[in-house]
Amino acid sequence: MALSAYLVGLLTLALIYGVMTLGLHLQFGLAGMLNFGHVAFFAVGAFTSALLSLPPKGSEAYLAAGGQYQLGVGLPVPLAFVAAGVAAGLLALLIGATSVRLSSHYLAVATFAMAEIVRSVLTNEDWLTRGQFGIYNVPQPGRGGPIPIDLYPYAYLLLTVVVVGILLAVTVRLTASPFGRALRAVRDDEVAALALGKPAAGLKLRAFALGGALAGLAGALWTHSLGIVHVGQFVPIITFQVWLALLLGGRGNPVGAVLGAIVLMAITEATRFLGNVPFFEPLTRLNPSFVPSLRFVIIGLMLIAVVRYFPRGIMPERLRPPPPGKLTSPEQDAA
Amino acid sequence: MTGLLQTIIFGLATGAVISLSAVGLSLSYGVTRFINFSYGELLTLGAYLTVVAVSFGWPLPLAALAVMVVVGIVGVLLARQFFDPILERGFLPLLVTSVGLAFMLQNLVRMTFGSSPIRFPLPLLRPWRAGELFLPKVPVLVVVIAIIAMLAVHLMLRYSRMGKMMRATSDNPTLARASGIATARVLATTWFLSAAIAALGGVLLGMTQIALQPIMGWSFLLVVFAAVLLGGIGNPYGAMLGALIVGLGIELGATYIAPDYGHAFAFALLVVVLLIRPRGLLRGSF
Amino acid sequence: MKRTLLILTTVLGGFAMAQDDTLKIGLLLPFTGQYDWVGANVQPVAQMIADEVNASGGIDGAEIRLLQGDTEGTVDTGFTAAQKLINADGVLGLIGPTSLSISGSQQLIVDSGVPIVTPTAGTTALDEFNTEYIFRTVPSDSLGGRAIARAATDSEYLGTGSAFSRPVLMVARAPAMVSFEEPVQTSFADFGTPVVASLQFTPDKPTYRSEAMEALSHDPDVIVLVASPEDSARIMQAAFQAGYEGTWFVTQDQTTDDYIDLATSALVEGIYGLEEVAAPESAELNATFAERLKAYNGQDAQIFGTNTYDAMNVMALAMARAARDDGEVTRATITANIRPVTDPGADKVVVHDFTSGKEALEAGNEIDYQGLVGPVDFDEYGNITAPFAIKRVVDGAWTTVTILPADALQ
Repeated sequence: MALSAYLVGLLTLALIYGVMTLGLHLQFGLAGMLNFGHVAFFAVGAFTSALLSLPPKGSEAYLAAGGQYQLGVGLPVPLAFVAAGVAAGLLALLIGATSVRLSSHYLAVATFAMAEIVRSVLTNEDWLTRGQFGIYNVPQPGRGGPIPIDLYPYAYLLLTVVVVGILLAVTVRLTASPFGRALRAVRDDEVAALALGKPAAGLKLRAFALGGALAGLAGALWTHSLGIVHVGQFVPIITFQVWLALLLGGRGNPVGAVLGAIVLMAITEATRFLGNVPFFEPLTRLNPSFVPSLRFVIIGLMLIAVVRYFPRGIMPERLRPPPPGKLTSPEQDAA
Repeated sequence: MTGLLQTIIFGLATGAVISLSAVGLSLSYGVTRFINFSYGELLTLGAYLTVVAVSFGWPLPLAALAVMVVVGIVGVLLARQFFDPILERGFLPLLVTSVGLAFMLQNLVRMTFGSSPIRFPLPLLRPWRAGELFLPKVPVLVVVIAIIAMLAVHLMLRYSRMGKMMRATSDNPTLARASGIATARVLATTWFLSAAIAALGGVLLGMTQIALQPIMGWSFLLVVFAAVLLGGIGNPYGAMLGALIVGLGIELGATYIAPDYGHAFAFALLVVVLLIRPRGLLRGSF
Repeated sequence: MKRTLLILTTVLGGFAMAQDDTLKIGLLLPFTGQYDWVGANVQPVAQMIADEVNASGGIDGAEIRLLQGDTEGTVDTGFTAAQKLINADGVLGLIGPTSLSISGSQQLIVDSGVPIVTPTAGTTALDEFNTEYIFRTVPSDSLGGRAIARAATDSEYLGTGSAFSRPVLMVARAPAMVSFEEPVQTSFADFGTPVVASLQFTPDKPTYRSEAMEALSHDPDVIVLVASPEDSARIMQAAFQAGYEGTWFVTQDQTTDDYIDLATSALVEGIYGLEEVAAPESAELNATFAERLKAYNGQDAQIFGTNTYDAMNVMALAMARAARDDGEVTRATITANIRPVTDPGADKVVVHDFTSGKEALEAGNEIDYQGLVGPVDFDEYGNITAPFAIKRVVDGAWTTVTILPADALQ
């Protein structure tokens, strides 16, 4: 029973990361934009959903949640969830508008820089976020009531699977639509696409905003699962993890994006059991960080190996054959 | 006035460490064209190995020089083993490989030296006094060393044959490879120099920070990136300029605007510059 | 394919290891990342006690085994580490986590009924959080902050002619530190000398020049510094280089020999520090502990060392009593036995280590564990109060100036 709870807990988190990876897929896989600030959208989505669904200031429940935050509105969770996506999407629009004309590496560091600014703001403006204390008692719909506490993780997994399924379906549709094709054209050869009259900047911006919105929804899913929101959650390493997931899964395929997140979690979590092997005990006595560090050395090696021997990731981009008469892309020609 | 002067001096010192590190990063970028996330770990290695050397009784300057050579060689070996085989694969595989390498290096340091902070072997120095003026010794030393090092790099790039080949390779890596200029020797020299400079950067960082932790290089890396991009990627002189601006920006912003948002100022500055000049301040080649 | 097999083998092997007869205690702490030193400080002490237990025959013949759960210093991995320890490994209790990781794992801990005795979470967020499963052998920061203010405003506790009149507070913006800010400010005001300025700063910066300058601009005679040892060393150095000639008051984390080495004795001569102590005779107990640890692994006591000693002893003694009275050692029985081995009582035998405690229990007595950080009596929320020792660096070593009894903090 505990084992299944373990797998359920991990799978839920993996799927949530999968949603973030899906967002990155829209931004990079489809639109070719290097976003290294993805965690900012995750953060904004989480805080938005938490703050909007928390009880308002002055109520009794407010005090139970630790008090001090300014913004509780008491909205029902589904509304707060949608709002999270909207808020993150708007932030992405803002960030995207300033950087959409930047090319690759500049875009990477500019987005990273902006994400760090967002994190700085969230940390320092503790009247809003309670800073380093975090906000506890974020509403968890149904928990303890209609759904008994020990079944809650399973119920939440079900919810997450449904949400991920819907978002995945939408993304697949989007990828196959004219919007998706235009994006790919821009990604593969921006100059040519411009020559054909595709409004590159506008397309990229829309993809960027949608990608950010997805990350925001992921943040909302996570905060209601944990029951807390804390600014310390949203560290840059999360952006890197999402990138690793995208690369593992194959950057051109939405299903691959979600799968990549699951594979990454499998790698990082399975290696935890390295510490259970009795062989390492004497080394742990000498240096307690020995095995945990070794775990990361192994993770690093695995990443390097995957990149070297699986250059296209698990699921390569599957391109539909072009309708007769339309231009093909160089990749399709090569396939 | 004293306050402003001191702020500027400390800003220059911060900028100097960033600047030197950025030069090294810029050098390797020029040839390989990808953001090397394991670069910060070479700084960490430089600082920690210096501690080891000093613990064997070597004087600090000698230890630092020896460590620079050792880390330089390590840099070449790592590049040959991990990056060279996939140089043609493009930007993302190289980036992820560098992240994997960073995980490995940082945690090898942690496995070897443990997690408790280690003290960098620098004696405590009182500031120079000139009437009302306090001139702290460490930042001045840091600036001087960094300038000497960067001058050496400049001379080498400008006037030596190897330097010319390195510049040609950075201008157009593909062409250089095709025309035989970018020989294995040129590549190796670039890797060596880049890593040795990183090691020196680590020593200077150790002098500024005093307390060493395995994560130190990784944490410092972002600011170095900011400088490199601000100045124009691939251009070491741009990196120096960018670093200066970043260093001053952090100190000035922190002192005169809001101390909480220290690093955020560097980033805000970066964003503003990139909006005006999307390719950085200087042209991306040297 | 090979990779999949490798992963599968590791996981299954891990599960196999987890299903044996040992009594598993989880160490839910950072072992990598920027707080890697926390896990590194806690584990040797916990292991020393585990070895002591196992050497004397274990608990009813079963040995204690420590399992690591690396939180990596982030919330999400804190969650997955807790999942592994609690659900996959089935640990009976946890030592740890830190103030940050508790946020990600608290729901899981409480839902699974896992008793935790944490030596590393002083955050005031836990002051009134849970009445069943969460125990701390580190006093809440609200207490430590008040103690600093009490001592700094009273020359009797400082051991000098006069108290300080211009205190400035510097607090790092991290979960472990911020909860000092409000108690310090309130307490200084309560005791008649409000802080001149209260400054928050971003942790882990390479230099703190501007922060030091800002503090000095208020002309303090004492700076109360709440930060990590590395940051504290940097701030002190920055202030020193800027010409500061006043003194400092630091928290428990810096009141260690290690800190004197880190910051160099020239810099810290004369500074004040805070330490949790049990009673006047605690100096002897602390010395014994330090000797014992040195003999064990050749190292000096580090931050959280004494807190861990008490946490692990409490856990082990609760397990021993559970074996004696309830016949089995489970999460529920351990939880139920924590207060019985630590609460005071007229007929109880006072013990300071596991072996004496076990002997007393086996002789049919009830025990009251009193530890290095204080009498270790948990209130309804699992918090402890403690007297504090006001210490000062004299001739390069920490010496106790006075003891601040717990009731002096009213």
